[in-house]
Amino acid sequence: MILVNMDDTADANLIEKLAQRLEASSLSDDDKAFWTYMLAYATPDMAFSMLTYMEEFPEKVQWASDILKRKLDALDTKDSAAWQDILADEDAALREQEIGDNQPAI
Amino acid sequence: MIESPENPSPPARGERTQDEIDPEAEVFAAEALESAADMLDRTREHSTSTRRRKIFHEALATLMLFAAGAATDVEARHHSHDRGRARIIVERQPRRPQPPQYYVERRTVVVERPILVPFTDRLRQHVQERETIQDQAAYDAGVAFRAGAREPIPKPPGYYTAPQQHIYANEYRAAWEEITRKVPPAQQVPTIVSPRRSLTVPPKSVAETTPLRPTLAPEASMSEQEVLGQIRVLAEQAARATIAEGRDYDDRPEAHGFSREQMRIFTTNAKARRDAFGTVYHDLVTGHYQQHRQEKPRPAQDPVVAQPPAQRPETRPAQGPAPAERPQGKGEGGGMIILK
Repeated sequence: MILVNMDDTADANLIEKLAQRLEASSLSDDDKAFWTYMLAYATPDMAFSMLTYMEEFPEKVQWASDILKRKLDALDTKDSAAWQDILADEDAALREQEIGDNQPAI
Repeated sequence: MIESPENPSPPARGERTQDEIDPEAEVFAAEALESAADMLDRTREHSTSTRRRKIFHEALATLMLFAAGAATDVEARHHSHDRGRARIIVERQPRRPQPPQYYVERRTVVVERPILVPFTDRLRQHVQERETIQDQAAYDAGVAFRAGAREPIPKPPGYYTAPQQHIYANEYRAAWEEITRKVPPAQQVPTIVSPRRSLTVPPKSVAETTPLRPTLAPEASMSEQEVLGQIRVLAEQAARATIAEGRDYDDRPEAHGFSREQMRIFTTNAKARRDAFGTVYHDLVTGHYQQHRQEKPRPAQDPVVAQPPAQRPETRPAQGPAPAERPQGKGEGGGMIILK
């Protein structure tokens, strides 16, 4: 199923779609609440990116959610070390992803 | 305590009132935006990789922007790639109304609110200050290297605030690494390193406490004031020739047949000096035509000459803003901030 298409990028309803998608996800209630709150800041571009991500990586939604919370926490506390840790974790995830993508299809 | 719009909870840790601004938070948020820019750069590096990989990168970069935007009460709404660097345009966006159901149904959420800093203007000023500090640090690193220093020892000016000193030190080391990377140890001879960006008007906090530091390369003997005087002479000369010979308007120094020696003045601090040239040239040429039009309207048979330059951008080279749009300084332009 194709969740979004390019025409949707201009659609403010993307945020609503993202909200629905998050609500239907396997995230915990607390995480869903967190996203409900954070979507007040969302933009259609951000929603489009996240919708595409959720479509492609449904198993990594929790990870993305955790990363976002950690980033906000680091920003909140101005914790540079925590911020660097997050960047390192993202690097590791990116590398892992690249390795996975390079595996030959069975 | 149940949080509701009618009964708001006390400010959470990190939350600030409208009047309270935390410079450290601004610095940190700007660094977060730069991290997002780095991530976007990496997304670009992967532009030829698989769709899945690009989606993954893009999502991470988006979350970075999202977090930084939410934390700074601005919307990092757009990014693009320009000359190999990711650029993020940050624009203040009215805060969306809080979903009311959050307060009713989601009150058990323990996630703290991000910092609320009402500060588009402050952020813009910060970005300007940051760029100036970066220029200063790069300049100082170049001077130290040329003077024979072999270790990066940043010496931030005393009038910098603590966060500014932190930025200066980081930029100094980065500039030093750039210099030493470009020049292998075996060939390291004193070299002049120009600032990576031209130093424009310093932030108020700096300008109020110190005179504008000359931005000439160390070997130049003229002060910046003298340089500006020379640029003005050249611009006047070009404007006179344009008017007298009925040439097309062109605010580029190279369009006026200056000698190589004369053109050398534009090789250091190029953008600021070319802008200074263009501004003087623009004012003189348009001023002349406006005055001339008031006194004696030009005949219509020569539309190229008769038309004020500012109204015929098609005669001007493609690069740079049209004369009437000449920027007045960094950071201006309808509330937009560009992190480079």
